[in-house]
Amino acid sequence: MNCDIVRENMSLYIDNELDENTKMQFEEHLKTCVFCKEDLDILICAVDVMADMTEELPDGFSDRLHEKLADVKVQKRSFIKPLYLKTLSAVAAALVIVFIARGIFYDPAGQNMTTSSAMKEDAFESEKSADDYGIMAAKEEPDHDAAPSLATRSFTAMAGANELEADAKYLLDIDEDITSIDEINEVLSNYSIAISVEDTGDEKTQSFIYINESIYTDSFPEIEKKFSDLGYLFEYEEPDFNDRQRIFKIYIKKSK
Amino acid sequence: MRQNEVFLIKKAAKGDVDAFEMLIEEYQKKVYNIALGILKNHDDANDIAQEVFIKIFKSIKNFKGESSFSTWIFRITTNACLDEIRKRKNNQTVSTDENIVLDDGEVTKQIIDDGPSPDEIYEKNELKKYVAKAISNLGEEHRTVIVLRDIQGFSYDEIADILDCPKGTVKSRINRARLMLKDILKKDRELYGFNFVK
Repeated sequence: MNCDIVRENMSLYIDNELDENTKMQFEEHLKTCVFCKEDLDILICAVDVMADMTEELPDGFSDRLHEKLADVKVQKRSFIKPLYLKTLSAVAAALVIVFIARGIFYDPAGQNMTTSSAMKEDAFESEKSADDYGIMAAKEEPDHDAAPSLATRSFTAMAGANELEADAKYLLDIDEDITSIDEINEVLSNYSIAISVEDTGDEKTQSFIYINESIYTDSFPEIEKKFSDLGYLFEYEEPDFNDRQRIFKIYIKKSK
Repeated sequence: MRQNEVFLIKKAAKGDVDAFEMLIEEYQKKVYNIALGILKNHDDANDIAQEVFIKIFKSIKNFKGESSFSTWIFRITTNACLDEIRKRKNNQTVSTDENIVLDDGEVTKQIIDDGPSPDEIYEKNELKKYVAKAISNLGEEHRTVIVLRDIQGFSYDEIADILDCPKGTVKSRINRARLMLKDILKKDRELYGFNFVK
């Protein structure tokens, strides 16, 4: 065994991962080569030091985390706040999804939604209408402190008065390769559903939507057909009826 | 997967904070230390570790059990740290605080654990700082495997799962990283006059 091969095997030797024969040749070489022996000694010492480099958690780490977790939970449950769309930081990549239930909210979705600012205006429009009708809606605020990927699931709207009154929970998946949200909204506007996406970020985005399933499920086959004409797949999975929470899954993605 | 873990994951997926906290209790220190090793400073490690757990809480309903729960956590952790480094490179705001500063608390701990003489404690702590500095001079790819293998003690298989790459790649990357580390230590040795040979 020469020095190059010893170098290649040094790490495996330290971790005792070499087979017996290779290990023997490795050790033979070390007996005669002071340079390799020195390198190995340095590495063994460094590995030994590193094994003892774990640090304790900073003071109050768990308490701070607990507060943030409770916040996440509060955001998920605060259905009494009016529906509104917070202006998103231009830096934070964020997805905004708005579902507006037919027959409950005034429908701005059929109106012009070609630019992101128009989307925001429309969302504020629906805030007013939510107030006008005295309907309570849910929101999940974008998490401005989080990394962009965390901000993707940022908004839910609910058509029932609270989570318990909604029949089902909808898990909406939008594939990242969807570029034209206008096209999608054009289809959905006929069903009083609007989705607005500012930036999909680099992860598949997901959001929970709480709505009365009877409002939507009847329209699903029709919506599916219209999306397929446009080259999109609109898929949905029936919820497990044994599951108390009844989660519908909706996927919108570009057809391959 | 342990039965209790499955139960807690289900509860956490429904938004149960208490269940989630029980679930992550044993991983907090490891996540923090992985972040510290890769990001090289305490404040960033603290922030990212918190973000990682929030992210896990928010996405735990998507955990399909394809890997073990711990692997999933550590994968999210390393990805979050590497994303953070990438983000900063793009924004050109690389932290100037690059050296890991070891807590003084280590000193007391070692007296209880090993009973070495004050000189030995001093030397060991100096050696730690010195090795930590050398680690921080590695590129993030090599630093990551060093943190996972040598500081956290994960096996080759576990690292392959966490980094989602073949075991062979992990082996050669660890070897390269250690050899680089050795070169840095060797180069600096004359400056500091450490004796590595036991």
